[in-house]
Amino acid sequence: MPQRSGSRSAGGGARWPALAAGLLLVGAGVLLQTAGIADAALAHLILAMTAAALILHRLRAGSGGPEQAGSGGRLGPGAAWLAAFLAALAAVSGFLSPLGGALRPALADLAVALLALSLLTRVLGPRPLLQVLVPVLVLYVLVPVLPLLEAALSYPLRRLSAVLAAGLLSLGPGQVVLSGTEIAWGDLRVSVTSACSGLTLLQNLIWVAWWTVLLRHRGFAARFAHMLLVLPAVVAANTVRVLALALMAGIYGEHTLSGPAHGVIGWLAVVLAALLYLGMEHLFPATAARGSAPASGAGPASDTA
Amino acid sequence: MSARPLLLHLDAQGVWLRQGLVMLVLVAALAPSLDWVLAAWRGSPLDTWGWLYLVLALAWGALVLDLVRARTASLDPAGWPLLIASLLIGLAGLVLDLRIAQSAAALGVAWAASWLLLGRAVGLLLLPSPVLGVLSLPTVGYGLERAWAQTGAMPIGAFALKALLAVGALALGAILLWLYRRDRLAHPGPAQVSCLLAAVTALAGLLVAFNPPAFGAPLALDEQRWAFGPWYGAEIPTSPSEQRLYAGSRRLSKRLYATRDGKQVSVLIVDSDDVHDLHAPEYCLSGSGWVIGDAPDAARAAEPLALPEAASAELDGRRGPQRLAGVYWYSSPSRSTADLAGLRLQSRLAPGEPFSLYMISAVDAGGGSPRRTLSAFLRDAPWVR
Repeated sequence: MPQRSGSRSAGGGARWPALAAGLLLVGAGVLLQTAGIADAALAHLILAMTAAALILHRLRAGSGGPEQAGSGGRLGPGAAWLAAFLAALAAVSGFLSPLGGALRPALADLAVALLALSLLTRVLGPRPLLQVLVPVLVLYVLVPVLPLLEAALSYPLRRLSAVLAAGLLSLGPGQVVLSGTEIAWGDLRVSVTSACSGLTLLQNLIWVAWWTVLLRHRGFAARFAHMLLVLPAVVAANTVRVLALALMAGIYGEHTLSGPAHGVIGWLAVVLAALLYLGMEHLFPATAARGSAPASGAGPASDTA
Repeated sequence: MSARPLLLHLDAQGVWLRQGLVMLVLVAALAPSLDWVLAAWRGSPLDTWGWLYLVLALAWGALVLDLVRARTASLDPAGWPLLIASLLIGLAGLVLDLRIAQSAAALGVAWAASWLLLGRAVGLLLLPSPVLGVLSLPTVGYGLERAWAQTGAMPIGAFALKALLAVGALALGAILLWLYRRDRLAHPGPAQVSCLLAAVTALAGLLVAFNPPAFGAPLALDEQRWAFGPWYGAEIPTSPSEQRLYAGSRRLSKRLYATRDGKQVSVLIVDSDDVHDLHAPEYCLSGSGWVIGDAPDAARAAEPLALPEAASAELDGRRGPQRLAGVYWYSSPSRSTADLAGLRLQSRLAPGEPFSLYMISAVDAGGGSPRRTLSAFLRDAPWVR
């Protein structure tokens, strides 16, 4: 068995630079978020951990072939030009950041991410770049800006849920008047606040959806398209929640809105959103072979989500 | 259009004409900045010895050109990214009116010319020359000292930092020469040079991203009041050297405020229509022998130097037994800023807007806390917002 032993040794040796690069990427990403990570929602932490795990897994899996062993120094000018392009983008993001207003932290994070990807490309070549692009951008850029995005999405989600719930309530008895995000149903007043906007649903469903598309699809396009179904699932589940709360308050009195039933309905809405999302899978039949490893580096180059 | 006929023509006289062309490029590119550089060498204590580094840069260049009389059949393509990067730095210097960027770009253009005309071996070996050349430029010393202070390491003055960097550059040159003699010098192509330059530029962008120029609301000191709280003010004469430094300014005012129990605070106000006349106080203080550092976190928490809504910078210096605490900011009618980058940016965003430099400082040589004195003054000061 000397040949096999030698091959394993070469493959194992080749993994170390990729693993070291992965650990550096993950370490830098976590370091960048040290300030906000303590206050982050659990769903955001799960998202960050998913991204970190994918970076390490894909770099480790993608560097296993003996043909790639030690290829870092012989990648030729193509990788160097790509690395130069990414570093130039990082420079532009960095220099633009003081002019970016509220986007300044996101631009600074993007600059770090692009510079790290540039270094990765220079050392390991373009293929690992394609495989870790999405998780790196999620870890470095998306997770830190999620609170900002959620703040921006809060009112539209509240308004959408209120409009849909008011429409459904108006099918029944009694007059329904919608004012902004407040529903007046007879004598009852139900206000769709930030807590009822569906943001918590969205937070939780994002990482559920990410894992789902990773397991069921290959290729960025299929994963991204399937991922978009998160929004209708969240809106539908939240509308049902608002409707249920309004009905509960109308039947049993407004005091029930501040009781434990409110929380229970919230949790049921999370389950409903997840079920709706999983149920909508029929629209996107799985493109990954059943039983194949999730997000394996042995997949096609477009396997980036 | 091929450069080969030109190179053939130059080579008819040996390698000297190519080397002479590089020197010509250096002189031509640096000429517009010479007035500023020479004035600083003559007038600023901190830049007095700047010429020494330029002499070292030229000496290293002459040594390399004497040792390696290389020529290339055509222009070395790896020199183009260097030339483009230098021109971009020069363009940024022109747009933002940064004379140091223009001068550094001139050195870069000359280095790129040597790379293009004499090949990558000479280009690499000449690397210490532009580094030494940059050390000779005005304001580099205090910039280095300020950057060093932000690392929180042991305070080192501007002169020592420049000397250390110069020694490092020469040591790097010696290593490169040693590698060249053993034929082990790297031969980077245009892609590798571009990659390195882009990464260095990206690091500079990151520095800007994490230390952006800060702007705040405009803030001025009410100069009509000579007495407020326990403080009594008196105008004090400016020294000839201060008048030289601020020669182009509309007004230079120095006032000393004191309490009955002997605490003193100095207020410096400079009004100017030209942002070039306003420089960071660290520049003067370093030139006067102060070693500028950062105040300890405990002192910052215990004695905050609070200004109302303005962007300001703190000073913490030591010179022998003396301790200095200060705060300064630049204010226009529309906004305030704490650094020169912000000042230049604002002057480009709102051209023609006058700026004033305010610096308030306290010095103590008897073991007391100048920061405490300054903090008390800032609490009582009559602000105009």
